[in-house]
Amino acid sequence: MMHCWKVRSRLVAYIHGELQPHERHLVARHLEDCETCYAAYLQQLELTRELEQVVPFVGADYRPDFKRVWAAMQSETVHSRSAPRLQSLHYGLAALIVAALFFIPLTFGGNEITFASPPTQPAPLTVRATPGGTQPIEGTAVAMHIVADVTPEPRRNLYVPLTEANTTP
Amino acid sequence: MDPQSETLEAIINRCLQSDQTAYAALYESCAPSIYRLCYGLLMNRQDAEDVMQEAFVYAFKNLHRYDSTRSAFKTWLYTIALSRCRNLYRRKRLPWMDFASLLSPDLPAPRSETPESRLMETSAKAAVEAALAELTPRLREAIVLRYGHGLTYREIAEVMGCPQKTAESRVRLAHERLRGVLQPVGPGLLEELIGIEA
Ligand SMILES: [Zn+2]
Repeated sequence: MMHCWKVRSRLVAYIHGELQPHERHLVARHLEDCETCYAAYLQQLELTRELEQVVPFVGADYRPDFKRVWAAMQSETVHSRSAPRLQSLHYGLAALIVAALFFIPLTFGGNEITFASPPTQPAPLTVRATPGGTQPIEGTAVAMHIVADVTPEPRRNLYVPLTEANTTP
Repeated sequence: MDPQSETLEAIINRCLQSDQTAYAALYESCAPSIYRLCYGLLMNRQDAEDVMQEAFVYAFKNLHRYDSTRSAFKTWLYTIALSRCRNLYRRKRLPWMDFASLLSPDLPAPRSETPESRLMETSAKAAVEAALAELTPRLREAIVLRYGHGLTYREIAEVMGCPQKTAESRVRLAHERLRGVLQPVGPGLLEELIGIEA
């Protein structure tokens, strides 16, 4: 014999025909013998009938309008086709700006190109030999030719060809 | 070809061959139930229409991904529509009742002819809609899928993306909540509503 609490928890599934045959049989037998559970069953049955009658009609007054969906689909297709082009334009502009920033010093600085590098350690100093030896001259402006011992990083190829593959996010 | 006599599978195959009339046929056959699902969950006409359109556009564009061996087309479409409804009520937090639509004269086709019985049905529907709106989204989904669309617990679980036991619990819990709201008043509420509106 099934306990009342167990039967109550299975009543809705019982009404919906969702119980396995064995469990269904147990619930049915319990309902024959237990008045309290039978009353609960009737309540659930009444609610089930009410919902079955009403819920299928909630929102049932809609008139399908295929043209609207079709138009939306067409416009989305056009959008998704044009989007990569717009993106490649953005990438192109960015590449152009980076390239411009990179090449501008070449046009101004001639051959003396210095590359900025992170200040990882103090640069070694060399002092140019003067007629008075290598001692610093007091009271005069210090004229030292500082040579930064920096090896420029090899230029990275910033130009990335704009293909379909790298424009797609 | 008459869309009524053609199977859904045949219509889908024609869609995949870019036949626009097939898309129209597929839409005509599925749109009413998808709208009912969306409206039942969102309780707002405009939202339901927008979400339904979004769902169909997605489904049409991804029709080639639909695998008939894995799920019924109806279930696949319901899953798409449900996920879009969830996105919307996540954004909006709470659904609201579209009271204007409840009181509008073009409410669902009456099942009986007399004005009294129609009014009673309208009131019963309004009461049930109000009770549905009180449920949490997950419980409302379970009830709408079960009663509005006749899905089995297994199908509900598939559409809701949860185990079958969870789907069953949600239907049962929703029943408990609705019983608390609808049954203490029962037919008395209907009479009261008729009295107010008459
Ligand atoms: Zn009992």
